[in-house]
Formats: sequence, structure tokens, C-alpha cells
Amino acid sequence: MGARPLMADQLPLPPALPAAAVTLLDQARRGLVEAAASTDVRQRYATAHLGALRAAAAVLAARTRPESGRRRPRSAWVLLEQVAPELGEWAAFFAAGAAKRAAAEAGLSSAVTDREADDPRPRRRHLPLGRGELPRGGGRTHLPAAAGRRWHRRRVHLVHVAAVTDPFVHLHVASGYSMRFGANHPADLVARAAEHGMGALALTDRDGLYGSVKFALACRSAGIRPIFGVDLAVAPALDTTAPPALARALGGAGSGARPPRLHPGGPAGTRRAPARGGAAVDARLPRTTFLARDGAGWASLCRLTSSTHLRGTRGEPVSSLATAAEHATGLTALLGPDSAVGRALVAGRADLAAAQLDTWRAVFGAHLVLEVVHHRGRGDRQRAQAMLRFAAEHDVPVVLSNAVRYVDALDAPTADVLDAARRLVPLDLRHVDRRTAEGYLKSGKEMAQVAEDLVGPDRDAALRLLERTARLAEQCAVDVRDDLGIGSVRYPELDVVTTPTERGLTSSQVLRARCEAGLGRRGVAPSERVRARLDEELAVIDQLGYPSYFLTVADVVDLIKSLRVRAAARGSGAGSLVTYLLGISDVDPIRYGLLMERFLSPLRHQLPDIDIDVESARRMEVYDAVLDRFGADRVSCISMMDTYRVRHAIRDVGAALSLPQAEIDAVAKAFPHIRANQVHAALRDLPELRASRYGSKRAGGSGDLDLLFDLVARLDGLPRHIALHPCGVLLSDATLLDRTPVESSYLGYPMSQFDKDDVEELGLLKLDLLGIRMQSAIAHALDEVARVDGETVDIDAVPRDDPTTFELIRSTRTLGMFQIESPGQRELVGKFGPQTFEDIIIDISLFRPGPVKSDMVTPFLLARNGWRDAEYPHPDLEFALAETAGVVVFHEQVLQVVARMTGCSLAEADEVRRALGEKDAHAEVRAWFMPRVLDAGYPEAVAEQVWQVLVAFGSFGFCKAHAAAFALPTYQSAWLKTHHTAAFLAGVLTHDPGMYPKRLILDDARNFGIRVLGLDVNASGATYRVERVAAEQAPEEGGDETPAEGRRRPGWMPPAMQDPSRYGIRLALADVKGISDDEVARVVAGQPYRSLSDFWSRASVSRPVVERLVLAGGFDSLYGVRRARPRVPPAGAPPPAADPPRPAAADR
Amino acid sequence: MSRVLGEAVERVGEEVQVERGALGPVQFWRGQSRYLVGELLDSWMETAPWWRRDAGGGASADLVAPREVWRVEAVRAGRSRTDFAGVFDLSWDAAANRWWLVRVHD
Repeated sequence: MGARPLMADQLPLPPALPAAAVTLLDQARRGLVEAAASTDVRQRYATAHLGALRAAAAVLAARTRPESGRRRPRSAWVLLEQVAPELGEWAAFFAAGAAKRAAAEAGLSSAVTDREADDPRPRRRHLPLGRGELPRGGGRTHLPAAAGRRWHRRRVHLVHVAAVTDPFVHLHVASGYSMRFGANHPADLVARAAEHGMGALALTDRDGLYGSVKFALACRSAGIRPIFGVDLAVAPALDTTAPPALARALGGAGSGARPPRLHPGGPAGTRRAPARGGAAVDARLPRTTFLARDGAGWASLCRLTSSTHLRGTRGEPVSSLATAAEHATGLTALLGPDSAVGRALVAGRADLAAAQLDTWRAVFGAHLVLEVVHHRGRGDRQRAQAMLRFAAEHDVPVVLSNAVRYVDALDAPTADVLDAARRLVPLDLRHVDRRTAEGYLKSGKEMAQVAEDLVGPDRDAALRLLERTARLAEQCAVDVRDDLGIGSVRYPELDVVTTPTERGLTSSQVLRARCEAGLGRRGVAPSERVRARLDEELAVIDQLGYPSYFLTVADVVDLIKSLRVRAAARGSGAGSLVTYLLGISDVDPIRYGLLMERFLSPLRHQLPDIDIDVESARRMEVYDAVLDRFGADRVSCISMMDTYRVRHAIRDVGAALSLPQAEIDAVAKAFPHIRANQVHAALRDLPELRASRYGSKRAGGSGDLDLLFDLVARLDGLPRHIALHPCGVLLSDATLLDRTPVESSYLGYPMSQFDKDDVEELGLLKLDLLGIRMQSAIAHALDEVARVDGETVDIDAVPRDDPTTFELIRSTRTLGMFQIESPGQRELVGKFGPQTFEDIIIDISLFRPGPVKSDMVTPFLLARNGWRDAEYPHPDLEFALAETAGVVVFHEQVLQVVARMTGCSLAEADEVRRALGEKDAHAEVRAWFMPRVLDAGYPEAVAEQVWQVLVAFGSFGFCKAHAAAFALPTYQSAWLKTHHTAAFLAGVLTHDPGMYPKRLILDDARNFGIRVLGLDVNASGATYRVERVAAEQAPEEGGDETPAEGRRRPGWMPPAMQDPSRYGIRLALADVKGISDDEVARVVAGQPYRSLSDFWSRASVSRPVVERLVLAGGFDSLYGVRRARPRVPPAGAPPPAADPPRPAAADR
Repeated sequence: MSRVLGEAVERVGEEVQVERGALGPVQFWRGQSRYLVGELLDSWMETAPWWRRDAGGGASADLVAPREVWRVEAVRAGRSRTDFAGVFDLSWDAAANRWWLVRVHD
């Protein structure tokens, strides 16, 4: 280093030294002596560095005034360099050692070597720390009373300097992810901390780490070091002997505050339903904050949070000291005013506080810290001072925090509303936690004032308190990349997804071997082209490091298929040969001209996304199987945050403000489903709301509800509760539970507290398993065919060029067919006339909002039907555009066009396509595109024309691979409808996959000549079943009014199609209104029945349901009732009691 | 015993004139009499329960109106401090710059 020795006469201190500087210099000198005497290496290093810091602060105290600007330098050393440039080298040396000092203080033995510990000392010798070197004045150590006020100002000044040089770090901060507690999003907190020039910020949300990833990302972009923690309710460890009057305050036994499981049976322990009034909703247990110090601490944080959630009642996480003790590694416990210790002190029970402290200290030892909070409310100062005294008496480190709940004091009412909403009570002083609006994210200067206000006349105490806080913050060093895993990728271990014979191979070798095997299984001729494509894809996968990803997904798909659950990949993944060979997708990418680059690009480091459609009815079975296969330590479901939107916000705010229930209801329902912060805009712009006069006076309304709407807008986007993501499953290696906190979902599945975006950031493999009703319908149809006809159909092996199927599609009788049953599609199908599987792919892609709106359909149809010749901008593009008659429909075509005309690779072309999606980037892309096209020798007019086409269509074209993946179930459903009409429609009726009510599907069945057989307790099952009927048998069946005889085969029906009139569809018991699954099961188990009384006694179905069964004709066959039925059901309609079409609840 | 002054619905306390020093009130006038502040016993912040305010609309921007309260020992000018000192809570409404005597502790 060679730092220039500093002599006393070179010192940048003025001759008249402020008292504060003297004090600091004294301390620095004492620290150095102490350091020299210390035998412990780490302590020597840390103490010496601290001394240097004090000396620097002394210089600053002498030479600076507090700044008023918002942006401040980050560290004392930076400031020192500005104030005293001659000390620059010296400052740099110590600034570089700051991290080491933190490590040394944290007790990391390897942090400091002997030599390093001694290194600062020679340098220190040149500092003006000897008593003789200090310019001393007689009155400086003992200030005359008259100078008291001046001294006071000095002290304030000094504390401010400390704040400037070592900005405060908030260690106890709740964001909106503390459900219905914190008033701001983590990003807002981070932004404010950055404005204050803070170098670090903690996020300690209540009950979970929900916001951690978003917080970490916000911190990364703001350049702030994140500190992670959690604030948990903790059941008191001690069975307090507090008198009953105090028991509630102390959270002791008898207060009903223990987790219910701890005292089962007792009336206090039984969980009451949440009720307005609040008692059962919020037990107001003591809370403890846990901060992660390192990577192990982050893992402990995850595991502690998980076990807290999994041990208690769902939705009421209560931890205990015992739980905390199991996961204490790397954690620092922070006992604040709301902890058991703090509450005991408030209650005046120092003895109890000491006992509590001892139990905590037994677990956390040196990593137990007391936290003082001073919100300047009435009595707060005394309470905080009591805490400080208590800490001093018991020799526990103590830090200052502000227990932050909101960014700005103006947000305090939001916190009040959240308090009321959380407790289901109206706003009132006794229901609201805050007394003052001081719990906001204060600046370092403000926190210094708080410390100042707190410690009173003690000169150093404020500094010590702030310093101790800063030091604890320094100790908490969780690395976002190494410890959280942001930016890394984690797959299940290779052993899990490979067979024993494959041991010893690398993942890419296994992948290659399986693809080679897949060539044979799929019957793909290993031609030169296929080989080259496979090599290329494998090379890209290798380069990106994703072989394990593909192996894992393939494993899951195999698993699903082994359950005999239908599965199909959707999305761009179908464009890859590897996914086809592994059995993940069933569309041959080479045959249908699909490109891998759209799916996986070497230019893009983004985990590819493969979604798998499974049968909706058996989705839970699939989840269970995946959980079993990989184990609960590798698998978890993904959660999603439900955030406040306008209606919910109105209900919660209205309830908090004690508005009448009916009025709240009316107001809430008047709004469409919009964001809460659009409430004012909606009041202004929507005519129906303007007419309601809810708005402010300025907007022509009554103005009575202004306060309500203002508060509603403030709640915008705040998380309200957590829910299970409908399709996401998380797969990782066995360390998953070290990386994500898990709680139990309503259905009992383990559910990560992170949502899908967080999970992606964390590099955990996310698999979307979507339940698709059509797959269930197909499965049901196949089962019915096997049951009735004894014929096993392998739908996946059916040739995809069946002319009869296409003939039926062209007849537009496509009801029930996947994707092509809507009225618009039927019209398009009629005009288009698909002949091949490729045509279906085009058809699905054409019927999208983009192409329809920009009228791509008409030119295509004109050319397709031969009324006009296909036009190509240039003959070179015919290879790509021929299949769609010169119209750009697919993303893949954009890629090919760009690649051909500019000579770039397909991967680069995909980047261009992505850029085309953003209007802002168009100029840039054009500047890249045009010169290259002109260089390639194309005329300018052609280049311009192609550019226009790209701009117009490129952005909202459709991914052909996705369309091809979708076309498969479309074709399969069409094939089934053609060849097994009755079975297929029974499947559609059972699983309700489409957009039409059952009435229309039944009508469609009749049009095909299928008879609809009435409900019959002896014949109907849980699902719609196919029955063979003899043609002349129909009248006795009594179900269908349409006589079979005299019926002609309709003209539109393809001649090659078998006449489906040999079959009937029996209505299902499950559609009887009000019948439960258990009742259906009992009815089916008891079949056949001899009479109504037999049915009544054996099936034990509830009376209203039996009545409906009777009315619906369920017993007609038993009693020979025939057409004499009252004409309640008009001809052509299903029986009245059969449930009219279920609401078309989307299943994804 | 402490006495809360003028507990009306609208606002608690009676308005007083206060001379403020660097650290807090120095003296105040209650009606015609002047009180000298001897000792500053305590000070804290209070925010009014905004939801109780007679609503009738109004935006929420000014819902947080913190008031600073000083608890002082004061004596009427001219009286003996040992005999007649009382403890008063003085509340300062920063927005309006008005002082209120909210409590008298006998």
C-alpha cells in the first residue's frame, strides 16, 4: 500500500477542536490500545478498524456540517476522501477492509489472518491519537453548564455526521407481502431507501418470505444490499405464571393464544370460524423477527417458515421457540417491543422478561438481539428506555429499528384499513395497531434523531445504538446469487431421472442416447436431414446446459402416460425434434416444418417453457404421482398472490369504515373488474358509474364516498391472500426446501410461497400441467368404445389423413371438436375446406384476433380456393409462404423470411421477430433489416414490401408449433366424432369441454341419428354412457321423443361414415340437480332396483333429489311409464331436473 | 386524577396561547392567567382517529395530522412553585399552528 505517514502537524483538524471530535478521538485511541492487547485475531482486526472509523468520524465532525440534500455518499471513507483528500489513501485502505471487518465481527474464523490483523497498526501509529498530540483545551472535557445548549447542538451534529457517514439500515420492515399488514410494495420501500442513500435494507414480512424474490430484484436494480428476514408469531415458550389480567398482554396460557393443537379438546383450543368481531381472527401473539446472516441462514429461514406453516392450522402460522431452535443455524433473532420479552417489560414484569430472555438466549446465544422501537407515541419513550436498560442489565446487544409498515407517513391510514380488514372489524382505536404515523421508512438523519431522543443525556449511547444496528446489518450477508439462487438453474439430480443402466453417463450423453432410441420408436428414418437437425438441437441444448431439463420433462410425461392419463405438450416446445423423440410432444416437427429456434435459441438464456396438457378430471392424480415420483423434498406446487382489485378493495374499505353492508354491496357491484387504482378513472369515464353519482362533487357525483374511493385506490395491487396456482408444479433437486418456503394449500398440497415469476428467477424448474377437459372427453370416449364395442382404439396411432374425418369437418358439423366448434370457426371451416392436417394447423392459426382483425383471412381464402393466384413478394420466399398462399400466418414464416432475405441465422431471425413485437423497436430493426436485404440483391420495392408485411403481421402471427400441438387434439376429436360419434359426444357431455350448453350437444347427437336415452336409475351411471339400441326398440325406451323409423340419413353426413343410429346416449345421474358424488356412487352400487321403495331404502338419496329423479323420469322404466308423461319437457329438451348446462367454468 | 378538558365531539381541549422555546413550551396563557413552565416532563405524538372525523366526503390526503403533545409542570405566574405547580398536557396542531390545553393533572 505504501500509505504516506501522517504526522500531527499535517492533520486536517482545526486548532479549536469540537468536543465531539475529542470524544471520538479518545474512543479511537482506547480502541487501539484494546486492539493491541487483544489476543483474538478477529477481535483485534475488528476493534482496530472500528478505531479507525472513529478517527475518521472525528475528522468529519471537525470539518463537516450535516448536509441537507437527499443523496449522500454511502460510507464514511468516501466522505473522508472528499473532506480531506490528503487522507484518501488511508480511507481507501480501510474502505477495502470494511467487508473483512464485518466478517470478523460476525465471528468467521477464516475471515482474518494474523498478518492482516496486525497490518493496520503501523498505519495507525501515524494518526494523531496520542494524548500529547491532541490539541487540548481546559474546558473541553468538563463543559460549563452555560455551554450546555451548545454542547447539545454539537452532539446532534455529531450524531448526524454518524448518520451521514454510516447510513441507517432498517432491519424490521414489512411490505405488502405481509398479508393485510404492510401498506407498500417492496419495490416502493427499496426506492425510498435508495433515495435516502441507504446501502442496505431488510425485508422482514410477517409469516412468510412471499416478497423476498421481488425485493431482491428491486434491490439489485437499485444497488442496495438486501437483508432477508421473517416476522413470525411465536407461541410463548414459558408457561407464564402471570395473573389472568396480565395473561392476555403477555400472550400466556389461558389467553387462547397458543396454537390450537397444543391443547386439544379444551374449549379455548377449538378453532372458531373467523368472525366479525376479530377475536378469533387475530390472537395478537407475541412476534419475533428472524434475520438470515448467510446462506445457511436463508435455508433456515425457508425451513423455519415452512415448518411454522405446516405445523399449525392452515392460514394461522404460529411458530414456537422449539421450532426456531430446530432451524437456528445462521439466524439472528430480534426481540422487539412486540416480543414476549418486550411485552413482559411493558407489563412491568422484568422478572418474566428476564426468564423469557434466558430461554431465547439458550437457543440463539450470541445471536440474540433486542430491538428498540420508538414511534414517539405516548409512553413509547419510556418503554424503549426500559428495553435499553434491560438490555444493558442483561448484557444483550440492542439495535434500533423503526418497525416499518409504510413508506411514507401519508400511507398510515392504509395501514389502519389493513388492520381492520385483517381482523374483520370496523376501524377503531382498539383495533388499530398504530398510534402515531412514525412507522415509516425514515431517513438515516431521522433515525439518528430518534436515537437521540431515546437515550437522553448519554453522550455516546446514541452513537453506540446506531453503530450496533449498522454492525448487525453488516453481519447479515446473504448472497442473492449463491444463496437464493437467483440466476442459477436447479434440476432434479440426474440419478432421479435416469435408469440404473444409464449411471455414469453425463446428462447430455443420456439425452443423446434416448433421442437415438426415439428415432426407432417414432419410426423416423435417420436421414441426413434428421441427423443434422438432431445434432444441431442437441448442440444448442448442451450449450445452454439444459439436457437435464429435457430428461426431467420427459420423465414426467412418461410418468403421466404410465398412469394411462392422456398428455400432450403444447406451445413452442412442439417445434423441437428432441421433444418429439423423447415422447414429450406428438407432432413430428420435420414433417410439419416446425423450427426449433422459435422454442430454444442459443441467443437467449431463458429456461424453455414446455406446458403439458393432461386430462382435467385426473389432474390431481398426476400431481400426486409427480409428488410420489420425485419426493416432497423436490416437488412443490406454485402459488399465486391474489391482490386487491377494485371490488374487493371496496368491500374491505367499506367494512372498515362501517358503511352499511347493502350499500357496500351495491357500490362494489357497480364496478367492473378493474384495478383498484383505476377507481377514479372509472367513476369519471364509465357512463353507468357517472349516472350512479358515486363520484366526487367535481365529477358531478355526491362526493359522499370520496374517502372510500381514495382508500380503495391506495390498496391497489396489495397482496390479499395466497392461492394455489392452477397448473404450476415446481421441480428441483433435494435442496428445494432450503430454497423455498412451503405452506399447505387448501387441498393439502405443498405450495411454495413464491409465485411463477419468482420461481423462474430462482432457476427452479417450473412445469405447467394444465387440465384440459377435451383430453378427459377423449379418454372417456375411448373407454366407452372399449366397453360397448370391445374395440381398443389407439387414438395417438390413428393415421392423420383420414378423408372421412376431413369430410365431416368440411360439413361444419364440428360441435364438440376441439378449437373448431365456435360459430366463427364453423364459418371459416366451411369456406376454407381443410383437406389435411396441415390445413387444420393453418385454420387454427388464422382464427385469432390479430389475423381476423387485419383481414389476413380474405386474401388467404381467395388464393386458397383458386379465385386468385397466390402472390409472393419475391420468388425466393415461395418456399416459406406457399403453404399459406403467400400470407404470413406463422412466426416460423417470419423467421424464414428474415433469414432468407438477410442471410442471418434462424436464431437471429427469432430475435428480430421478438423485436417486431414492440413498436418502439421498429425503427431499429428497420435500420438493421433494409441494408442487409438490399445488399443481398433484392430490389428496394421488394424490401419495402416485405418490411411492411413483417411489421403488419409479424407481431401477431401465431406460433406454428403451438398450432400444430393444438391441431392434434382437434384432429383426434374430429376423428372420434367421425368414427365413434356416440362415444365421443358422451365424452363431451360428461366433461363439458367446449362452449356449448349440453342442450345443443344433445341436439347435435340427435341430428346424427343418435338416440338420447332418458334418465334411468337402473341404467344411468355417473357419466354419460353409450348404449347399443336396436332400431325398432326406440319407442319403448321412452327417453327420446324422436321416432327412429322414417328417419333418413342426412345429406351432409359423409357417405363413408358409419351410421351412428345404432347407438344411444344415456343421461348421467351426475347432472341431476343437487345430487352429490356420494349419492351417485351409492345409486350405481345398488343397481338394479326393483321399485321406488327399494331404491329409497338402499340408495339412501336425499328426498329432494329422489323427487327430482322421479320427475326426470328416472323410474319410468321400472313402472312402465311411457309417453303419458306430462308435457313438461318440451320435445327435444332434456328432462327438466337434469341439470341445465353447467356454468362453463374454464378449467384452467 | 387527571381531568380531560372540554371533551366535546369535535375537538378535545381548550385553546391556549403558548410561547415556545427551543425544546418546548416556555409559558402559556390560559384565559387571563399566565403559566410559567418549570419542567418538561414528557412529549409525544398523537394522530387523531381520522375515521371518526365527521366525514361528508373529503379526500384522504390530510388524514394524517400528527399533533405533538408536551406534558409540562407549570405554575401560574406569581404563585409559589412548591405549592401551586400543576401538570398540564399541551397539544400543538402543527398544520394550523394552534395550541390546545388537553389535560390537567391535579
